[in-house]
Amino acid sequence: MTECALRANELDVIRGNKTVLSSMSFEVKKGEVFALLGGNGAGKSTTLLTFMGLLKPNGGTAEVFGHTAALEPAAVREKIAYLPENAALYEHLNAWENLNYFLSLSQARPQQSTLRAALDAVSLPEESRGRPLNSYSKGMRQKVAIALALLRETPVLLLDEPTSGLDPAAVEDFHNIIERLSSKGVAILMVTHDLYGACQVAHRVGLLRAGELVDVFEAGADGSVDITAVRDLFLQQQVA
Amino acid sequence: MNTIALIAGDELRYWRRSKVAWTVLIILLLVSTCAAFVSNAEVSLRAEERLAQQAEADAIFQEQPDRHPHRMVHYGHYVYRTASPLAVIDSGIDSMVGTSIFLEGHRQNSATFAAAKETGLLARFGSFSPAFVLQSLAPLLLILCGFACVGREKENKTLYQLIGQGVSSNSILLGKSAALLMVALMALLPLILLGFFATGSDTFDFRQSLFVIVLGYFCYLAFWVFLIVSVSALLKTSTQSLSVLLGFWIIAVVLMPRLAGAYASTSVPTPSHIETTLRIAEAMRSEGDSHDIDDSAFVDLRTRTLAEYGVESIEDLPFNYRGFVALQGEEADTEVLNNFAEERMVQELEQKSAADQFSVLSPIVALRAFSMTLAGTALQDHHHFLRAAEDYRYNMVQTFNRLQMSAMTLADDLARNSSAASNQRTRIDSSNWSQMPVFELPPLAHEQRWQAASLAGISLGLWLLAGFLLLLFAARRLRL
Repeated sequence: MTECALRANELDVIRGNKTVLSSMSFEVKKGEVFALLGGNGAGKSTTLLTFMGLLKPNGGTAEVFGHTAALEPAAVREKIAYLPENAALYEHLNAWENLNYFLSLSQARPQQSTLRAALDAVSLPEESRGRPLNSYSKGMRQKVAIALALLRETPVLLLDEPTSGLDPAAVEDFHNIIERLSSKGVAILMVTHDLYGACQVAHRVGLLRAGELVDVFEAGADGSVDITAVRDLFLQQQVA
Repeated sequence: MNTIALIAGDELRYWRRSKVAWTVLIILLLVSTCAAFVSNAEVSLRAEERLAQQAEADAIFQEQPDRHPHRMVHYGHYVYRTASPLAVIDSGIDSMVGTSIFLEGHRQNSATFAAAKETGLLARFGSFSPAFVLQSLAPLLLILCGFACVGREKENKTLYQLIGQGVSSNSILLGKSAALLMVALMALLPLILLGFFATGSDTFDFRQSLFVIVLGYFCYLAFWVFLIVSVSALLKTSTQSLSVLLGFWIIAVVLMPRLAGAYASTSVPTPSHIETTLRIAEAMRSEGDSHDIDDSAFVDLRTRTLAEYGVESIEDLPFNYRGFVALQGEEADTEVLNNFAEERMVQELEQKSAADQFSVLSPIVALRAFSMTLAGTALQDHHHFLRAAEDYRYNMVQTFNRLQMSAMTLADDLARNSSAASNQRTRIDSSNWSQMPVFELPPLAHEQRWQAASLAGISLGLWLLAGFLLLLFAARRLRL
């Protein structure tokens, strides 16, 4: 039986007077890509922050390889690479410096060739790598953030709107990277608005509405989730 | 530890690449270096001036011709206070109080030639000394440098990345603090160099005091560093942090010392100069006029003295009775004057204690007391000078009164204004003037200085502890 990497168990999160997540339960196994799809305010990013141990749930647990995120945040974060929605990197540093700095903080000492390979993998133009990030486009920053997530080589990857701001070619490259990582056993939980991308790359797609996981669609024999079924339900939920 | 160093290193790298931070850092270094140079030049110049003036006053006094000794008592003499070597760091109250006293018989004059009065209104804003820069400007520049150190990470969402890499909130805040402490150390560097090159810096006492002063300033700036980082971590935006920190700076650095001064002068009122002068004059009247041997205040003295020596009249005494009355009169006058002087000094110390109570409300009040005391420019040092000058005055006057007793007869002394021959016989040789030792101000006892600084030192330590606890609290409350 494949080991469970992430488990949300009756997760409740209330912020202020608003219920952000309500009795949410799901699992992501090693090597599985699970996409959470939902509109604005559905609770997608909250789910990720709860797994990171950055938000304490009001009920239930978020577990990473058996560690409860709220109780063992350090142990959990060792196993997770997190890619936030807007690439959160230092504007005053260039791509090399950003990667070096963040990896040093996680006690990693990568070779220059490893960094180069990661930046090549996300197709960041060579000539831009030595420039500070304040001269980058949103898509270029996102690529550096993805490279950082890849370099951490963690067994779990949390992605918040990972393809936001990327050009189509970069999105394609990114999907290839996700598939490669998945085949290596990395458990990937991504939250996104991108219905088509999610259905293409994920093994399962969960639909979130107002903090509730309303349905989960599994990939078919062709390896992708039935986009029509997901889209219809998604649109119904939006209208409702 | 490695993580803290990495975060500190990145913060320094950010400041190095940020024009605003660079500007602030350059201003801080420039201002503290300028203050060190200006202060050193000013204190050296004043010290040379005082030495030259003291030498000139000594020479003029010693060059006086043969005179009646009591004329020398009234001719008087100037003594000057030489500045403490550590006044280059903190001139304390030196610029507000007089540095010279005119010494004469039957009077205790106030110290005169205060720099603040000599140089006009501008000096009253505080001298441009390393102490002023480190106490007032350095915290402001640290605020400008560091107010966004954590807020920036929140606003740019890089805090997610930091925490996502497994970095604890304690490490983040300690790293930021370490970077800002490096800036604080940079501000202290000119002070340390100045201390080593200042005049008199080769003694152990000087180095020991300098080390403790620098440590005190470091504690003070470290408190500000912890406060800045904590506020930046606790508040949502950098703008909010800047507003709160500037508000605290205005209250703690600008308002509190002035409030402390106002509270001290209202809670311990002191009589005005005129009031004190009138009270002294009244008290002195009851002591009699020692120039007049027939003054009713000295009837008892005459009776006792005649009985003691077993003679019938003052002419039969083995000494000049007029000189003896002057001697006894000066002793009585000095006791009255000293009582008033001590009363005044006690009131001033009570005022200082009242002002020092504000050190629980503002760290600068604690630091000022600590710094001035160890630099030798505090109120107790001024009192020490007043007491030493008064001892010198008393000895000088009594030396001349004894000369009057022994070097002439009563008959000549009484007839000196009516007979040229008597007048000549009452003039004593001018070589006697040079027998007066040169005035030297011994340093305040080391233990006394340390004891006086200990309370302010404890207050500073408590402020530092409070800052560190706030930092730990902010680390626990760090929100994305």
